Amino acid sequence: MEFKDNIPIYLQIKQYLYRQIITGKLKPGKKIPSVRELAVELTVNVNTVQRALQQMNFEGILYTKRGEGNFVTEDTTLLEKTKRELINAELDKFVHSMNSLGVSDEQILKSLSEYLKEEHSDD
Amino acid sequence: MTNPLEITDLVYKKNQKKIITDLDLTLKPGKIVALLGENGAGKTTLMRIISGVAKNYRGSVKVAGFTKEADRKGHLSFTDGLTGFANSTKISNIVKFYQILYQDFNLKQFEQLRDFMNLKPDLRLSELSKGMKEKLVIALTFSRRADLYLLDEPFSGIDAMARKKIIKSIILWKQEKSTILISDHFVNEIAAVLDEVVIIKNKTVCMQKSTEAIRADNQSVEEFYESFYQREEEE
Amino acid sequence: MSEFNRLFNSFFKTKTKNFYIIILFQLIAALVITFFSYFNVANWQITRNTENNGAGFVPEWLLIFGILAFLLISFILIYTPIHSERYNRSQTWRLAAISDGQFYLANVLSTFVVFIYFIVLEIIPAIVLAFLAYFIDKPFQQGFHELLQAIHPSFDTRVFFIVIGTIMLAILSCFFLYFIISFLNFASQAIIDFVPANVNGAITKILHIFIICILIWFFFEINSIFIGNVLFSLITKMDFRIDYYSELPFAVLANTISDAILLFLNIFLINHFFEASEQNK
Repeated sequence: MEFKDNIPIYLQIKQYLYRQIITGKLKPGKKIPSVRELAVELTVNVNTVQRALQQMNFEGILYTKRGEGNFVTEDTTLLEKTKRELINAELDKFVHSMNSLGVSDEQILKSLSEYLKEEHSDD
Repeated sequence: MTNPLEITDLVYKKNQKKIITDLDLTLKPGKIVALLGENGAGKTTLMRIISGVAKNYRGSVKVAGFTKEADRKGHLSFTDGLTGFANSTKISNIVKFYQILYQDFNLKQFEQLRDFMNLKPDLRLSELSKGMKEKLVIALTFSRRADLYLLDEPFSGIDAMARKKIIKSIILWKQEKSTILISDHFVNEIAAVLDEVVIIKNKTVCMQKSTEAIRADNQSVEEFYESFYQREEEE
Repeated sequence: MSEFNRLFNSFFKTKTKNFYIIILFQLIAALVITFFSYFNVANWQITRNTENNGAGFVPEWLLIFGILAFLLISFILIYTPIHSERYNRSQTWRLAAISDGQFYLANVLSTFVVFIYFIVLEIIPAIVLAFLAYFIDKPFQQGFHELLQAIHPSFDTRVFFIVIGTIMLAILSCFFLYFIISFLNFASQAIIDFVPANVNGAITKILHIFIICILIWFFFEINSIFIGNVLFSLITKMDFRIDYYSELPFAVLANTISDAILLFLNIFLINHFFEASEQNK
């Protein structure tokens, strides 16, 4: 995993973990790797991982069992919400860059559905 | 908790040349800090003064609250170039030396680190490549229990794989409360593991800042560091 | 184990590293020399050398071993303190968690202990060879008995004090040698560290040698003034007859004082000025 060096790394770690949770690599109710394991896996500072996990605990997507570590929440509505947020964030980026290319919202819709049709016929 | 390092008003001259002037530096416990600066900026000298092997300086240097050199040396672990050993010395004999000399040297930990670094104990110093030697130095340095670890340019002239190993070993073997100061003239490769950067310019510390604070300004640590030296070129 | 003991231990181990091999070689060398002086080897024929058969083979071996031992001990006496200066300059060693004064003491004391250890190591094979000679060689045995009879053990206090005094003097002189070598090293290097950086390397080296010469001259001056005028006038007032026995306490005192002064200077220099080297060796 490579991080962008001009965005706070704790934010990027959060993004990374959200994805892991949403794609099911980290399952609801299951323990996530320890702080040190994550730090080694991502080659980042332990303090930075700690900060990311603290925020995710605060948000409720993770919860801590004393002496056992961090676990993924089983709250499905919260998981759904997180997923939606992640999708929205990606769409935001997409629409934003399309707009900056001078593509209007209707054109985006049209291009996208055409594009998807082509892509799927390729499969 | 006392700070692992507190330096105030440090001045050091050698051969009538000022190498460090009015330097102040405080490091907090549990941090990984880069000491950045050009070659010859005084990074090695600063580490040597902290370790008490460079003499005749003025100012106060405290390691884990201790001023006396003997206590300082007992509370820090400095990467040494192993210059005190003949080239024919085997790794196992160097380890024996460390074991006798340092009461805080942990053989079990060294064996783990040695294993992690893929170093065979019967190799001789002359048989080690630059990367392997640096790995050995790091393994020896981290096998001591200290409040402050001083790594002097551990990444200079070694390949990417060795560098990754060393960085991973830093993350794996760092004790929670101990602080690591890593000197380098290049920051990109270690930026992700740093808590703070300390930049040395004009013989003193010109900036100390948290890496996440730098990134929060949408700047990369490298850009931030380079901006200090670019300004000089423009002037 | 205290830090001092740890360091002392490391010094001892490192400094005695090649001792066993040296002594083994010495034994073999003595054997080979004895063999060739004892036998003539020509055309693959070994004949007894008739010109040189005053002593038996084993006593001759012992004699040659003894001569080599004397040479080696003299060599070790001079070599070890010079070699030990490298540790004072080595960052690897100086990083030991100990004050520099104690570091220096550990280095110097270990040099002395190592020297004594070497002498003991030389004596052991000599004794073994002597025993061998005693049991194999009849003339040697006879000579030994004659020697024993010749010695009349007559211990009066005078002899006792001369022996003790001489041993003390020898030890003090040994340390004097160590201290003076360190002093020349420390003082000259400390002065060199004040020479402006833009002076080039060759000049610095010449300057280094020059400073050492000046220091030696300076030291002899101080010494002659100190011993010649100050201490000697004190002693002469006490009206000793000038012979070895009566001069012994004076010599021991003078040596102790100069050793103490040098040690103090060296500890001061290593604590405040004499740095470990950044470069290799």
